[in-house]
Amino acid sequence: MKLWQKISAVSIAVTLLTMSTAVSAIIAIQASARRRADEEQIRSSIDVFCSNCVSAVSAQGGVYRDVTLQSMVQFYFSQFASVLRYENVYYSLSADGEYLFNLCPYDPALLSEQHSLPESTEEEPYLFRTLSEQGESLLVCSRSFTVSQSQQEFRVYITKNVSETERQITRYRLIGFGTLAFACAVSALLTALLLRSALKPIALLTKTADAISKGNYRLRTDCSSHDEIGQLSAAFDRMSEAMEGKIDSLDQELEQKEFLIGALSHEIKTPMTAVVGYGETLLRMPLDREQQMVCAGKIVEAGRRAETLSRKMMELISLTEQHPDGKRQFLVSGLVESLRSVYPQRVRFAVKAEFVYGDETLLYSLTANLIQNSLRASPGNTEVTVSIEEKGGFTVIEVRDQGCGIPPEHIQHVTEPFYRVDKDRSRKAGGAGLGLAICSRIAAWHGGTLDIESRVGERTVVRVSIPALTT
Amino acid sequence: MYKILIVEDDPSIRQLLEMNFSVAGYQCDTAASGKEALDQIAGQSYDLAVLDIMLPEADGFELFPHMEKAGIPVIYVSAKGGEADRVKGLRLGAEDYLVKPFSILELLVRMEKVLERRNPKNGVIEVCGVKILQGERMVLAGGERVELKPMEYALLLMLAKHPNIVFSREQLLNEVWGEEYFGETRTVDNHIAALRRKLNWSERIVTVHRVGYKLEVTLP
Repeated sequence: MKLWQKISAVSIAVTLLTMSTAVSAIIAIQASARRRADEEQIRSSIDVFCSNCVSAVSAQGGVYRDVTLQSMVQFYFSQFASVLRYENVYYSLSADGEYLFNLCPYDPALLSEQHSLPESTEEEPYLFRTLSEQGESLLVCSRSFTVSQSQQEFRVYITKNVSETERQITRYRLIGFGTLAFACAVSALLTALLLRSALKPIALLTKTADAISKGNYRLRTDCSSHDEIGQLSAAFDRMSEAMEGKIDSLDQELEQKEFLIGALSHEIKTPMTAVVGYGETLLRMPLDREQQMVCAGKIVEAGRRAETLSRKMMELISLTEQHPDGKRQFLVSGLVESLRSVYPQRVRFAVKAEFVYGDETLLYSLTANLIQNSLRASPGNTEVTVSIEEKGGFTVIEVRDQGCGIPPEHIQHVTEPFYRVDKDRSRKAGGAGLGLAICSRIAAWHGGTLDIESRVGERTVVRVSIPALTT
Repeated sequence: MYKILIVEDDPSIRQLLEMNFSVAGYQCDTAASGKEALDQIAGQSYDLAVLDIMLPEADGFELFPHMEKAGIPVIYVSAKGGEADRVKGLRLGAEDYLVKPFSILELLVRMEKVLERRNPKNGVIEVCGVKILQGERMVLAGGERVELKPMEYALLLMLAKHPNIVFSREQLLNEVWGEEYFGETRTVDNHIAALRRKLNWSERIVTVHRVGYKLEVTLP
């Protein structure tokens, strides 16, 4: 059972229960009031009859025989009855259990069946009965009285046809419960519709969550309502957004790592082939002394190459991983001093900035890599210029050489790991094909950029811009 | 003497192959790129080409049709070890496909098998007073016929064809008995002992400590 069905069912049940109790109570009160009114009317009529008969007879004075009394009472009674003529009200009179006359269209024997009735008392001299006769409801009331000193007991019967009242009450019931049923049906319908539309975002939420768990991370609920469910949807969307971002960055990281590992395992094969090949040759082949020396030399060379490769690779991976944030403000002169001691010749430093904001070790590695590249690319004794200056909120490190340059079609690829413009020369010079990849990653880590501008056979300028500390 | 063309862009591997092939008694030429290789085969004929796949200018797969046209059998030696590349190389019609890092000795043995198949010779091999008549499958020592079991004969051929080269027991087991043979290296020792006894070669077949065996021949 759906939630909206449950809530609707419960609310309808509660409404029905309270409303029907209320309606029943109102109808019961109404019915009893009407019945009481009927009774009151009869009661007062009976009193009028009794007292009038008694006083009329007393007014005559004297003592009469029972028979005479009977006819006198009968006479006055018929007089009153003809005066007090009401619709549906009939009068009957009996004396000592015998009918003197009956104005009622019903069998008088029916009216006097007294056996099931309690005895009348002084306080409550009226006897009420309800009867059902020929499909009509009758209310019969009787009261006994005596006239002068006679022991004769007269009894007045007033029969009122109360069918109309009963019908009225039944009509009330029909109208009351009919209205109730209608109101309940309408309210049930409204509740269900409202709940359904209010809970619709939940179904959407479920569908979206399912789709996301199946891998469709781009899906959102985009719920427009402003209630709690809308807030939940919005929170859900924010969560999906954050999750998608995280997954994307993880995917990217993984892809990059896979690419690096693939490239590395390929790159490592060449020195490994050399090591294994020359080693095996030394071990198995009948070589002369000179050939043995060549083999040993090649093994050392290949080993060095593998060592460089793994060191650079570690550098690159530790940059791809979370590098601890060691950014701080430091003096450019310190950086330049340590670079100068490593590259004492052919490198000219032009420093116009005093401070750099960043990780000193990483920036040293970046500059050293760029200098190394430039030196490798430059023939003979041409100079490499390193300039560091501050420009528009950025610290710009520029390494300029007059070397062989990079053909334009290669420029956009040179920062990819293991990309080489000239495979042979780069290897001979001891490159692993990772230098610029490391540099561009260091620049990116600092939130900066690395741009290359080159003209084949003339020069190459590598410009790294990283944000300076704004005070 | 067979002529081999080595096409390999990495200088140290190129030199490695060249050195080994020379020691094994082949004459070699080298090429560092696809284009150089095409120039080489245009000028002269070769008995076998050992090709790298990733080469500048024209890669190893592109070179194949030219090699085929010139009637040069090809063995690929590549860092590309994926199944797709191996299948591609072999489907083109290459004789063999070795993945770097490879064993030099394995390459030498594979080369020799290719060369033998291409140039059937019922030749006579003579080493240290033992004559092997390959056509008749007969072995003569000092003019006397020596009875050898089939595997002893195969082992003798392997050693005699590669004098002074050290083979490991596993290698001999692989190349002589075949890769499907799940024998123990002991089998090799037993057959070596039989050869030493039957040919009186206890001095000639040298046990190289922790490596294997070689047939020691003093070169002129």
